[in-house]
Amino acid sequence: SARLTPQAASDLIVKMARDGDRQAFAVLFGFYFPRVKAYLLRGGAPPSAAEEIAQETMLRVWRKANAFDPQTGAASTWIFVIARNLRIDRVRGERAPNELELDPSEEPDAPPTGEMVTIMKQRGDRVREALASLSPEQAEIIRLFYFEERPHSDIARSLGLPLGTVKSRVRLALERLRSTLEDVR
Amino acid sequence: MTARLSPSVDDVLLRHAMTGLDDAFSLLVETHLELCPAARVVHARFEALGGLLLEAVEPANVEPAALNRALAALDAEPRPVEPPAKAVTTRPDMRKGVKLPSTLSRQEIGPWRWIAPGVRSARIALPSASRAFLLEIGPGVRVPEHGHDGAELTCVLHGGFSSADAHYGVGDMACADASVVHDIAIDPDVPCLSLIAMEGRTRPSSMFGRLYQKFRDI
Ligand SMILES: [Zn+2]
Ligand SMILES: [Zn+2]
Repeated sequence: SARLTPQAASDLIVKMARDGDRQAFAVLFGFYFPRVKAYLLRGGAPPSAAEEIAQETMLRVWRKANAFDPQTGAASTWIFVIARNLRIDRVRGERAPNELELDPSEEPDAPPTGEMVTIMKQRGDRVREALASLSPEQAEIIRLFYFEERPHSDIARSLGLPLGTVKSRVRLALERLRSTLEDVR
Repeated sequence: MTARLSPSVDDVLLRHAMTGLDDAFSLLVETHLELCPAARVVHARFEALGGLLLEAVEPANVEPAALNRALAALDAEPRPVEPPAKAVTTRPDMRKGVKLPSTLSRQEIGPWRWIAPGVRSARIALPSASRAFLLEIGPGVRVPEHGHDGAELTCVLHGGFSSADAHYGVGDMACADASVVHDIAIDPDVPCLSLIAMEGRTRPSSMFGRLYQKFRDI
């Protein structure tokens, strides 16, 4: 569970799709299941729901492995989007059962054009660079505010900062992130 | 979208990419993504960022039995798929040459309601507390300075408008919240059709009421 390179993760999904390789699934599960569960827990899901949604995420990864295109995106992105969508479905509850099947991971809203594919290929590394270019404080605040969806007041309490400071840090970190990503355009 | 930062386009896209948004805001962002290739690129990168944060998150504790449970479930049939959404039955007439984006083709949309001279709107049926509706305003109309009760996103579907020093054309997304006071000038040539999402505590009728009030005051 300690390390899994992006290339290795991508290869595992390809193996699952090609050979129905359960060993590949087990390795991918070992790395991603505890992380998907952590993402859900940090976003406020109760432990039983986090466990369930993380299980469902990994099962979808298995069932939809042949929809994964290693040319156009990273395994981490693909798995994250599946987990996020299952989380949203859960948050929305049973109000909109028809939407449960609208899973962007299997049905991209538009087929990628040639230039989109080219852009997306370079994307992984550039996003990694953009994240690395943030200061540790900025990366932390993006993680807390956006990835864990924690309110300003909560972040202010846990970091021991005034509310106003937290708000302006969020804004600055987002501007910085965005301008770094902009270079890729 | 409550009690958060005054939304910017990036803020909204990042939140949609990271955790998703309530139905009305989600519908609006997906419409923006359909109409705006540049936003799709940014959003895709934000999703990639989500993947990186997922890789880096400190793993949760996991029972040893979790893997076996998953392995045992691999061969099980996936849960039965819900029947496809029933055909949309209600749909207000659109002006000639106006085609709704595919994000809206799945939605039940109520009839046009008259708001003020040259202004009409149609509610989109959603189960969420947040609301979405179409708003059409006639060419050349100026909407006087007004405030907002909460977060409010607008995506232009046809025509365009200017507000402050920016112009918003088809596919552009405008973000406002309680801190924003602005006036709007609809482009002179064609009516402007927009999709609007707003927080649940804001009743559209209250906004319409104010709008109507403003128009009467002119
Ligand atoms: Zn424009
Ligand atoms: Zn306004």
